[in-house]
This record gives sequence, structure tokens and C-alpha cells, in this order.
Amino acid sequence: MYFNSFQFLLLFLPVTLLGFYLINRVEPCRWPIVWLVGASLVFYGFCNLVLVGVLIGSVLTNYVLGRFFNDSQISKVNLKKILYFGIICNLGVLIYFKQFGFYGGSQPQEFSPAYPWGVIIPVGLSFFTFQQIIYLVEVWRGRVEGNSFWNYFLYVVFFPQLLNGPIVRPNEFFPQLVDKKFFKFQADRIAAGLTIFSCGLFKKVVLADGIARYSDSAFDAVAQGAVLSMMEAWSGTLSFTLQVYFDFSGYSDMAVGLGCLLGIRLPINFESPYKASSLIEFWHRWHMTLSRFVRDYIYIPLGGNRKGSLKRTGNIFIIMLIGGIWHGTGTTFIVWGSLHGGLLAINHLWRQLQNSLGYSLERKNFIYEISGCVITFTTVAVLWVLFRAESLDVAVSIIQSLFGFQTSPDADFNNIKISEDRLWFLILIVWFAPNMKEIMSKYFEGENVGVTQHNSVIGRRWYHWYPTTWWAAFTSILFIMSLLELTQGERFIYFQF
Amino acid sequence: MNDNIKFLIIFFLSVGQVLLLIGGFNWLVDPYDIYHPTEYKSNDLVWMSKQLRLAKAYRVKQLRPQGIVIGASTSQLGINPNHPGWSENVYPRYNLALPGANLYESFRYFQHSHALNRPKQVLIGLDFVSFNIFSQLSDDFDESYMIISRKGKRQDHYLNNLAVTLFSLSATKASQKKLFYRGKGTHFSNGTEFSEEIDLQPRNNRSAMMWSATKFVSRLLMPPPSHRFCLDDETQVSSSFQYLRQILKTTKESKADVRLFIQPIHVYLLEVLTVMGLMEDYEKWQYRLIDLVEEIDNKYPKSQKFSLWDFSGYNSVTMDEVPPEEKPKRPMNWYADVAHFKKSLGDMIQDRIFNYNEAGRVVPEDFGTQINSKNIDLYQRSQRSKQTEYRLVHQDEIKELTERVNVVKKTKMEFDCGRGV
Repeated sequence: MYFNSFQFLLLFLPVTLLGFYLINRVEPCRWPIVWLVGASLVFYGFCNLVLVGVLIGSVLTNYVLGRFFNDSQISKVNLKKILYFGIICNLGVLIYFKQFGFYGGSQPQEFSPAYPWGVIIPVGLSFFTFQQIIYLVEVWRGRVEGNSFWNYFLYVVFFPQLLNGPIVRPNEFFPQLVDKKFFKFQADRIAAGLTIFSCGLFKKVVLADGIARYSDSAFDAVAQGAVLSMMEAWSGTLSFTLQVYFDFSGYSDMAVGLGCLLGIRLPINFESPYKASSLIEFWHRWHMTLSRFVRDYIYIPLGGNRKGSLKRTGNIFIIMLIGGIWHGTGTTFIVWGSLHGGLLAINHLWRQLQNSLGYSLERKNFIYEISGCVITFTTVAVLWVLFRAESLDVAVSIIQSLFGFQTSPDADFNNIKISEDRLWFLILIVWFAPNMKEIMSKYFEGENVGVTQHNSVIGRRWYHWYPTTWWAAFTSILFIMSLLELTQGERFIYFQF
Repeated sequence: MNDNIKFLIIFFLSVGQVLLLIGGFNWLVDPYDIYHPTEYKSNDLVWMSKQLRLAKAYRVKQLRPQGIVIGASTSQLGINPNHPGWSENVYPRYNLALPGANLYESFRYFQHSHALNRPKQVLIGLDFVSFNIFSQLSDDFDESYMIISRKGKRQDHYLNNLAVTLFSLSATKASQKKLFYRGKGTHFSNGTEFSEEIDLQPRNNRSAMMWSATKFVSRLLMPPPSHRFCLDDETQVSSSFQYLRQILKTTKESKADVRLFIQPIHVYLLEVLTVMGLMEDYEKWQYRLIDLVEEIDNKYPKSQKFSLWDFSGYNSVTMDEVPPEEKPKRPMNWYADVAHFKKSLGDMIQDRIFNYNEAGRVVPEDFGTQINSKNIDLYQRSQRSKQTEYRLVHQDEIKELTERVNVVKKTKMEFDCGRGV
């Protein structure tokens, strides 16, 4: 089931919320959690019941492995072996499905030759695999206490973050379950949750899906042998650049909003990545919970930046290459990851050079920032071509068109759909509009200290969210517009990963 | 009152009120004819939304027709299932043809109709271009409109359908258009397109024919973005013939009376195919249709045999004279453009297929041949010699047409459909 479907919005969500808060009133301890686990399994199994088996199997295995780490009678050496075993099992399942599975797809299948392996990849497999690896490592390190079965089950399958993240750490999740706030109906959380969810839904349904046809039109054309003009290539590239951002950040916002509705605070996953003035900054703002996972569980164990700049450069390249392969084993993803790795390494060396010349990175220069932002955005956009293209040939053809290395066909020869107005509008949004973290900053700040009164907060900005009449009206407009455009229920791009 | 509670009240009231208003408006105007369906009177004119794929899918749900027409825009415009040649017991009948439909879409709409009520009579209009494996699915097509999945599983997106027809922006736009529409109607109640301007408005028929011939190449025969035409390709897993096979097999199993016909395209189009080097493919296509039809017939020896008619080729109807340069607005007898024909011609097709005689309507002897594996060689040979004769008589026209098509041809890349030659 998708967040952007009528089944979810009109049936699943109201029933889940109602059940959750009703059960809370009767027995505010285990049953609300069991209810959420059940709802999450229904949510996951809606499209394919068999895949629920894979999910439950994975949860049970990791839970049992996690229990070993609380057993004081097992030696440290053996515990480490168990940890490695657990990580290998998780990665093994991930690699097996990534290598031999397929995603179902949208093409008519019934007359195709039988797929050699016939394995469907469970949606969100890598997300719940990573989350469980984090759990095992954190319990092994002793940073997290062993949890009850139902708490652990909910940690993995909690439906807002099950399919596409954000990837949550155990110490961000479990303490909230013991907090009494979790079991109480709180109007401020519901209001904030509705706002964040509506913004996310709007990003996905109106902005991302609205631009998707322009990106598909260009990429599909090249996949079918067309050669694009420079204009068409830039239209397709920028459309996908914007689509992938609004699609994924829209999903993340919806996840955070749904978490709020159910009393669970999930981490923010995007922080205006296209405002970044360098590639390093871009990766600090894009899919932040995955970047955090990669940093903590791959980059630092590899040595991070502790062993000199050469080693660091190598480590950066390796993690970006792994990041590329995580998206798929196709050449395009490997090249995409490698190029990001290479450019990130150059970015680090550039910073090092600036430092050695005595140029302070803290000193902000407007021209420098703007040009950095434009260069970063353009670089990221061009690299997205590799990410989106069906094959390396397609990507190379589009990149050649982008830089005018192809003979342009006549204006309407390819019949590519282009919407310049929409592109400009969305570019203005990604560059100048405040992001969800900024909009909700006063609420999150207030929530942390237990204050939500707007007059108590210093530094109020026009975009800060408060439960006012205007915000209620604005939120309802976003929700209604999304609902009116919600006829297709387009898949999220990142579901396939 | 607490700010947060106030926020929630405003939010839910606003959403509820606006949705109620929009839903109520769409329910009253009913742009897809679902909630207050018009009575089925096949000759009545009705307004149909431009989202034809949605509108026809819903209309079929209500009507559950016993007789259907399948095909592309040529069939939608020219074939009226109200023709008396159809069996009287087959009622209601519906023209389920859709503009630009390729074989996959036709197959899905057939499945949809078959799942609702097994049709007793089916008329299948065959267009060469809809067998192109590079023809695109229409933007308007959506699997969720179908009551049955590709694999034959029942699917009912009740909630989705309700939302699409009442609470969507497209439904609201359609309602607005319906409300302000001032014409007689866009379609007959039986799904056949109504187009009065073909006969009533004087227009430059010569340029319409020339223009549509070149447009046919650039937009239909070799559609962008692939700019290719292939009946099969080594690299493609699906084939249009497979979809047609599935339709024919299903009708055999349900003992339906099925008649297939190749559209009576104007000879200009055959000349275009010759210039494009696709005449050989066109002839092979006819062979393969015969093979397919006879293969299924042989599998079900006790059932009623299919009939496969060819109305294309060089005959007195398809050689309808294009107006000369000096009188470009002279009306044509049968054609709106090189592919689309008038209803009067559609009636003659049905006269022939159903072996029906209408008083005062004479169908030329050479119009329409039932083709099969026994007569196809001879038939195609005779067509080739007629083509030579036609070219001799119409040299200037063919020259102009060839020059125009060659301009378009130059923009297309060579592609051998994976034959490796």
C-alpha cells in the first residue's frame, strides 16, 4: 500500500489512528504496540502477502540474534562471531534479492518468457535490513538495552518508515515507546503531523508526479533510440532532478508526519539539498539518515579521516561506490557512485588546499556561495542522468545532448513534453523555499522543551509553523489539492531500492 | 479553545466542505455518465469526455454489451454497431474502439467487456499501424479502469473509481466542459464517434489528403520517439499478434461470432507504405493474420469459423479520387483523410461482412475480399498489378506524394527490427 493511495488515506490511516488511540485508552502498554505491528503488516502485505513472510522471517532472526548479546555467559569473541553472522545473514538476503530478484515492473508480463529466477524483491528490503544491522551493532556495543519482542517488531516494521526510511537508530526509537506521551492523544502532535504529512503528500502528488511525465518523456525517448536536442535533454534532466527530490523528500515528510500522528518522532531526512554550495554539503543534506548510516557503519570502521588524506580519499570513493551498487548492480549505478565518490574526493582536496592557503571555510562569500550552489546543482543534475537512464548508452547520449555534442533534431521531431514554467517554478522552490526542518523548527524546539506557545519563542519567521487559523487553511488547501490530483497512485522512485 | 483543537476543526471542516462541494458538483453533472446514466438509444447523441478510455470503460460497465466493436479511431469513427446486419438478439452493442489504440489496449478493453458480459458478436477492425511494437500506450490509458487484470484476475478499484469520478481535478474539468458544451454531442450513445463536419464543412480535401499522408508517417506509422516500425523485434518480448491471439482464443471458448476486417485505407496510404519500403511488411502482416486466424480455427474445429476480410488494396472505393489542384475543395466520396472514412463506407463494410443488403445501397463488387491461405497469393498478385495500373493513371499525384513522404523518410533512421540484414 502506498501513502498516496485512497485506500491508505481514506481507510487504512483513519482506522489505524482510531484503533490506536482507542486501545490506548483501554490498555496503554503493550496492545497499542501490537496494534501498530498488526497494522504495519497489513500495510506491507497489501500488495504481496508472501513478502510479509520474508519480513517476519528477517525480524525473528535478528531478534533472536539480538537476544544473544544480552547473555552474559557468552564470551566476547563468540558475541563478535554472532554479530558477524548476523550482518552476513542480513547482507546475504539483501544481495540475493538484489542479484536475482526483479521488481515486477509495469510492462505487460503475461506473454514474456518466464523470468529465470522469478523472485520478487520485497519492497523496502534494504531499509529494514540496514535498520536491523544498526540494531545488532548497537546492542552488541551495549548502547541499547535488549527490548521486548513487540517493541523490536514495531521498530522494524513501523509502517511510516518501513518502505523508504528514514533509517532510525534504536536510541531514537525505543525511548519514545516508554515515554507516556506516546500513549496519549495530543492535539498539538496531530496538528503538526497533519501539516507535515500534507506538505509531503503535496510534494509527491502535485510536484513530483506533476513533473514525472516530462522526465519520462525524455528518458524513454532516448531508450527507444531518439537523439535529443539540447533543450530536450536539459528539460528531461532537470525534470528528473526535481522529480527525484520531491518524490523522496515528499515520502520522508509523509513518514515524519505519520510518525507524529502516532506519537513517534522520526528523524528528518532532507534539508534543502539543492541549496548546497558543495558536493560535501549536498550529501550532508540528501537522504541524511542513509548518509549517517554509511558514515557510522562503513566510513568510520574503514578508518574515516584518521589515517591521512590519501586513505580518506580512498574511503570516500569506496563508500560512494557501495552507495551506487546499493541502488543496483547495473553499470549506470556503479558509474554514478564512482563519479560522486571521485568528485567528493576532489571537493575534500579542494577544501584542504583552501585551508593550507589560509582561506577560512567559515568566512562566507555571497558570490562564492551562489556560484558553488549553481555548480553543485548542475553537477548533481548531470549525474542524475546516470541514475535514471536505463543503460549507459542512454546516459551517454543524453549527456552528449546536454553539452551540445549531438546534432539537434527539428523542434517537434521527438515529441518530447517540455514544461519550462513548471521547471522554473520548482527550481525557485528548491532554491528559495524553507524546508520542513525550518518550517517546523519552532514546533520541534517547543516539543523538546515542552513548550508550544508561539509567543514564547524568539526569532520568529514568517514561515514558522504554529497551530494558527492560517496554517490550518493552508494545510487543508495542500491536502485538498493533493487529493484532487491523487488519481494514479504513482510509485515512489525509491521503493525499488 | 486550544489553538491545536481549533487548527484540527478548521482543517477537517475545510477539507470536508470542499470535497463535499466538488463531489456534489461532479455527481450532479456526471461527466462520465455513471451516476445518472443516459438511456441507451443507439442513435441518440451524447457528450463524452475527452478521457475516452475512462468514459468508455465505465459505459461498458453499465451497458454490459453483447456485441462490441474493437479497433482504433478508424473503427470508432466509421463503424456504427447499429447496423442491421448484426444479429437482432445481440443487444446492446457498443463501439469500444479507441483512438490511437494499439493491440494491447484493444486486448485489455476486450478483456474488460468480456469479464462483464461475454459478448456474442465481436467485430474487430485491424489497422496495420496498431501492430507496431513501438506504438505507445495512450497517456489516457489506465489499468485501474479495467475490471479484470492482465492475468485475468478480478479487480475492482471501487474506492479509486469513486475518487476518480467524483473527487478528482480531471473529473471537475470534465464536468465544467460538459456544463458549457453547446454542440449536438460528440458520440452516439453506442460509442461511435459523431463527426458532422466531415460532410458539412467545405474544406481543401486535396491538401487534407496530402497532409494526412505525411502526418501518418511521422505520427502513426513511425511514431516518435522511436521513429520505428516493426511487427516483431528480437529485442521485444511482447508482440501484438499475441494479444490478438488471446482475444480470438477467448472468443472461441465463449462461442462468440467474430469477424475481422482490415480497414479500407485509401490507396494513398499503400503508396506511402511503398515509398517507406514497408509494402512487403504489409503483405507479410496479411499472411500472419491469416495464419493466426486459421491456427485458432483449427484448434477449435467444431466452432464457427472466423471470417477475415480485407477492404484495403486497390478497389473502386479505396481509389476514391483525390480532388485535383484546380478544384481542391471538391468533396470526396468516402474519406475524411487517408485513413479515416465516413460512416456510409462503414455501413458498406458491414453490409459485406454480415452479407446484408440494404435497399438503395450498392456495394461495389471489388470492395472487400475474404482472405485465407488458399487465395492470398493470387489476391496479393492481383493487387500488385492493380497498383501498377493505378500508378500509370495517377503519375503526377504519386510523384507529389512521393516527394512529400521522402522528406519525412529522410528524418528516420534505418532500423532492421533485429533481423540482422
